[in-house]
Amino acid sequence: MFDVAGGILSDFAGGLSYLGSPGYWGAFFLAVFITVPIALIPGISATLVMAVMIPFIVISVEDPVIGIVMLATLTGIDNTLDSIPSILLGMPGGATQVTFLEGNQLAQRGKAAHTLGAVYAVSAIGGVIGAITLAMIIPVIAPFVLAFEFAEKAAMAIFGVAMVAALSGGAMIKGLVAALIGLLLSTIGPSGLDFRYSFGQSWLMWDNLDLIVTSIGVFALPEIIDLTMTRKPLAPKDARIDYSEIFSGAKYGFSRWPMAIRQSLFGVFLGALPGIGSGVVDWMAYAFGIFWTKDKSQFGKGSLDGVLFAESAQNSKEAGQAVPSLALGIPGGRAWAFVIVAMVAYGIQPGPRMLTEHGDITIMIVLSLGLGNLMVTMLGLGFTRQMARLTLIPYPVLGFLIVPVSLLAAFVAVRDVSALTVVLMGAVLGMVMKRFRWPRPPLLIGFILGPIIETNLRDSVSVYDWFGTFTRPIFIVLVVVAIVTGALFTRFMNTSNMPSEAGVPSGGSGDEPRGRRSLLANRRWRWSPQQAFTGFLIVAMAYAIYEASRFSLIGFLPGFPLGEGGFSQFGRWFPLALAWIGLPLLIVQFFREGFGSQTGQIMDIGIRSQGMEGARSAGMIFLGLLAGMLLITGLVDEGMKWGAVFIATLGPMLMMQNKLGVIGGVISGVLIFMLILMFFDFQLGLIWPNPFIRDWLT
Amino acid sequence: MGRFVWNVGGAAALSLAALLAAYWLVELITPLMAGEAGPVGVVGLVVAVVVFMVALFLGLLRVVPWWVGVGERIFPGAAQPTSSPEPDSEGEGASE
Repeated sequence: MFDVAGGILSDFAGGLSYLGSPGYWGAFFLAVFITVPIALIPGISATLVMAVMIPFIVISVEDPVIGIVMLATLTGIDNTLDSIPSILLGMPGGATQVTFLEGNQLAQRGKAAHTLGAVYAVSAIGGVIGAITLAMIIPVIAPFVLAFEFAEKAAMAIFGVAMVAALSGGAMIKGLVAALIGLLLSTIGPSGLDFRYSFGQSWLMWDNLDLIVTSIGVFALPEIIDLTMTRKPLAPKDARIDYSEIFSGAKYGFSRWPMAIRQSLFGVFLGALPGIGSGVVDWMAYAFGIFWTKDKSQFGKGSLDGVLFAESAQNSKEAGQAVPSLALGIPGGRAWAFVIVAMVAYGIQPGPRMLTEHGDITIMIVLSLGLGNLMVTMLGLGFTRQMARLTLIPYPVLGFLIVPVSLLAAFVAVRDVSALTVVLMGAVLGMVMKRFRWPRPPLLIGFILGPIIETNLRDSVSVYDWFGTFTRPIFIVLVVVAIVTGALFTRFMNTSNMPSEAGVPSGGSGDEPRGRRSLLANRRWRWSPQQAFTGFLIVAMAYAIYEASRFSLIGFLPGFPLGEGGFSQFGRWFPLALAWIGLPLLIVQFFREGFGSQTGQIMDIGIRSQGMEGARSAGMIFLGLLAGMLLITGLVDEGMKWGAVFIATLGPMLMMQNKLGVIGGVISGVLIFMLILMFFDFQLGLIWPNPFIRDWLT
Repeated sequence: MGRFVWNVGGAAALSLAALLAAYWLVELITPLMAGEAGPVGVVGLVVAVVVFMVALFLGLLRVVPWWVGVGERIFPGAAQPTSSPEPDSEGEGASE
């Protein structure tokens, strides 16, 4: 016993000796400086860069401690930096959607510098708390993590769906339906031997819809289009962007240390559950923070606390994800999967004996996670003033830099031109949801949680059957907590005094009266444009039921477990259950709209450019350019990259029609061109899509 | 109309020239990207790109107003054919 403890201590001491090694600090700073530019390019994640870098690191760095620590540092600090484009440019990443929802609205009020200062502060707290918690729990955590089997993971995801209630306060039916749509969208594609909702498209038979691609479409692109159509800078002209503002933000962040610690511990807990991805942590931490806040009226309209809830948990979550990765050898997240790959390449087996056999690596990972976050905080405080000035540039100049990068990032995520189809269809859905005030966050939560719920429940049922699954004690506790939390949220959100029209101070979709909702507020039936969308959703939901009951390629094989034709019984129960719940809700919503029932606050951003002078022509220019890019992609060899340069160059010129537009257009065109040549072509060696229109014509 | 064609033609020519220059630069720094010059090469790569972008920006700040000014002298009083509204006065773009 004492020998083991002594061994661990001597390993820890050996690890700490690396702090005096120039090699460690070289690798540490290299990781930090590699991550900074990567994180600033929206859509390019640290995970992608890790995948590219692993062979180089394993070959060129002989000492496994330094190689592994470099990768762990990279993943640990990427979270803080990912928040910068979300706040400044309105471009959310896969796990910074809350930061975008609240932080981008703060930037529009000229508070970008203040917000970023506060984000750095809580990120530092989150990183350090995460590292301390990791050091404390890793020796004893393994049995707890192992207690979470399939059913418990599914229950955690169901708990996440309950959080939808927090995000749908004034429009509960719309929120629930949006979550159900997200869950249903997550079922599109192959599942076991079923090809669900593939519409005969081969690309939907290969893979499910990608999270990055879908969130770019539904969440990011509508915002970018909307902001571009305003033709204004993101921040007002009198926005304060100076060091005093940044430091006052940081001071505020540090003053909220009790909240940051609470959120960080929650982040560690969520991160430690394998299969609960970063996107889930983001929203659940946000909802968790809202739960503890008395005045809930601020959320969804640009709340700094809302940003800090998510950011503190995002940073500590990395330490949480390190727990199953190091203690069990189960990747806690995508980035940690790469750390494990590198460990195996170095001949180190992560698992229960990690602490006794490789205590030096464990302690250095813990230290580097903490140090990395402190380092990024200091760097951020130094550079934010310059970066925050981006919010003073007219948005079309930035927007037409971000649009091609987003489309390219979507393409890189799935390496198929179908990404453009998904992004553009998602953008239409997102715009319509914005216009008719349907909350999009529940849709994304549903989309993220769908596969977690379905696969874990299915696996659990195949092991324990339905009865065995639903009678597992932790499962029961978690589901009961989820239901109680959902009910409490519903009550709290309804009793808090919230004005309607979140995020749009004026000029939003003003067709709906403000105030409380009632089922039959106006007894006279009146058709409204939003009923067309609700009607479309009813038809889509009915089709989902019909398709799930009818179609299966594999279902015609003899001996396959089928119901009455359609998806296999394994593939059908989840979409069928969702659609059967969604259909009556949508019918109720349709009648509510017909009788003039009102929609209260939703936690989403309305259309800012609506009613603005010149917005219509800006929209036409945008659509024309997008069509031009698609035409070039479809007609020319390697047309996608030329289309991206086309839209980046012409966009600002046409939208601004002045000298700044020309300068902005040339600069953004050159930047995109260089990004394509240096990164997408040279580093990633992308194979660009075939000119599909030309192929189709010939 | 003449001035519009002059401005659009100038913008197109500038874009083309800048893209060609960027292409030339990337060709030039390909060995650095391949890591042939080691860490010093990586630093050189970053410096080259930053210097190029700053030079391009400063160059454009001078060339674009000069080109537009020449157009105004050649085609005096000619109105822009586009009727699209100017950006909001808050934008820097409205300064023209």
